[in-house]
Amino acid sequence: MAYEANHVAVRIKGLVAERVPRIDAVAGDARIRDLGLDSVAVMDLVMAVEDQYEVIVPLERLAEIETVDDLIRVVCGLIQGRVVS
Amino acid sequence: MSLLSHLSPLRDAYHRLTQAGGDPFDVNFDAILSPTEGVLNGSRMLLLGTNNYLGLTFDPACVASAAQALQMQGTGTTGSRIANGTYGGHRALEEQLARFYGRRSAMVFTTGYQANLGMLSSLVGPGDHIVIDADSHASIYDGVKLSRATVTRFRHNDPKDLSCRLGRLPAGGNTLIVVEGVYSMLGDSAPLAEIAAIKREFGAYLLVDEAHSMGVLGKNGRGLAEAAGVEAEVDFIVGTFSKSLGAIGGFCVSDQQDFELLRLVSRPYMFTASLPPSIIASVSAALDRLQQEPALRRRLSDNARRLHTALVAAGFVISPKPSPIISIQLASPELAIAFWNRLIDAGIYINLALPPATPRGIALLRSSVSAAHSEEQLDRVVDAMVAIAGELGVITPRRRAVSG
Ligand SMILES: Cc1ncc(COP(=O)(O)O)c(C=O)c1O
Repeated sequence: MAYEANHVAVRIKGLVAERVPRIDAVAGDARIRDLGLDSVAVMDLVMAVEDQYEVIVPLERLAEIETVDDLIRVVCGLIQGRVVS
Repeated sequence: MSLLSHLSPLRDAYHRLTQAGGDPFDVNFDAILSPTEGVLNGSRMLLLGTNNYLGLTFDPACVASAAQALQMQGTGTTGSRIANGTYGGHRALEEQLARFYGRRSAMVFTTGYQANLGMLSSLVGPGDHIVIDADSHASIYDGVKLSRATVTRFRHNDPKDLSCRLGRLPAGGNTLIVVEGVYSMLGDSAPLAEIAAIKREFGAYLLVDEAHSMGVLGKNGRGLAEAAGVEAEVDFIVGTFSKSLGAIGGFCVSDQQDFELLRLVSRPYMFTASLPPSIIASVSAALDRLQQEPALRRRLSDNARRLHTALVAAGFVISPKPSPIISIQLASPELAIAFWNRLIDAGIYINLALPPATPRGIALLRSSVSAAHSEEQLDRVVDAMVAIAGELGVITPRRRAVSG
């Protein structure tokens, strides 16, 4: 699982970087709002991440996602939940 | 640090927006003269952003009904139906709505916003799923939060994406799909036949918000569900009295068993005052007019086509299909604000819609056409828009707009 989590982190940071102009590396502790993504761009990001991993990030869980690492953590949890169930 | 200091980024953005002239969020009319005309800062304005699709706000029958109810029954109900009781008009309007839609039950709410809150909060709960179009109206976003169900969005008007996401939902619980008849920003409609087929495939329930399509779409004005021929697949229709019916209020109609029990659990129904008799009376008269005069709907669609054809010919970027909501897409909020101000100077009031209220972050000049607009009024709009667009470099004035 650790290996996969690492993979997920790299991929999600890539998806964030695609949406932020002029950025070299996305820091895990960067707050998504501070990257200049408005609510529409955040939604687009979340949908792209959902499609990448065939999971659903329920709207009510967005509140707990502030930083890029939060997003990675939530998605890893969802992937694990899918594997378990 | 003041309590509202978290709003300071908004204050700055708001300030920038008003630099260009008028304040689009603080427009004060001196008077409203008719469904299509008002007075703004002493100048006559042609109104092209009202949602007054059938132009019924000054309809003599609606006004007379409202006035009579006002005289006979007073100004308000001063409480909810649960506490203060149901008036004859409430029940009669619910029966009239149920008949109009051919459904067993109807429930009237105080606004369309509350109708969505009231339905979404009580149809499903924890353990259930709601799947909504990503471009849903704020009342849908707010309503699903109250439900405490798991909420998933699918890409706007994309049945394949809807199907994908339904397939990913964990087993267990009911699933409610929510879409709109006509989307308020761009005037586009949900691909309802495909969505209805998916709903059936997954054994889900379907709610359609026909706020902008009641009285607009369908042979009898029952909205997109009627136009798409899938009324039997739509479990709940939500609508508003604030657009084609020219007043205020909201409703839901359905054939669901135990629908009446919702009156005992739906907090946005139970804990707010019911509509006053005068409003109920004008809405009831407007619903009669909608049914007795299909010519209104024809005039509306003729008007929409006239404006749409002319704006397309002039080279504006607008949605490909005509609808009573016609939105011009502009390259930036600044350009949209400048255009909006120039239109006011030219005596034309339309809606300015800016991100994040718009899809995909686009800036829009949103017009809503009415059956009450004259051809002359619409041609005047086109002339003004083409002239301003030329001055602002929005389109190259290569061709004169051909209207009609
Ligand atoms: C799609 C949609 N649903 C609901 C509403 C709310 O209607 P009302 O004005 O009756 O609260 C609106 C209107 O703004 C709307 O556009």
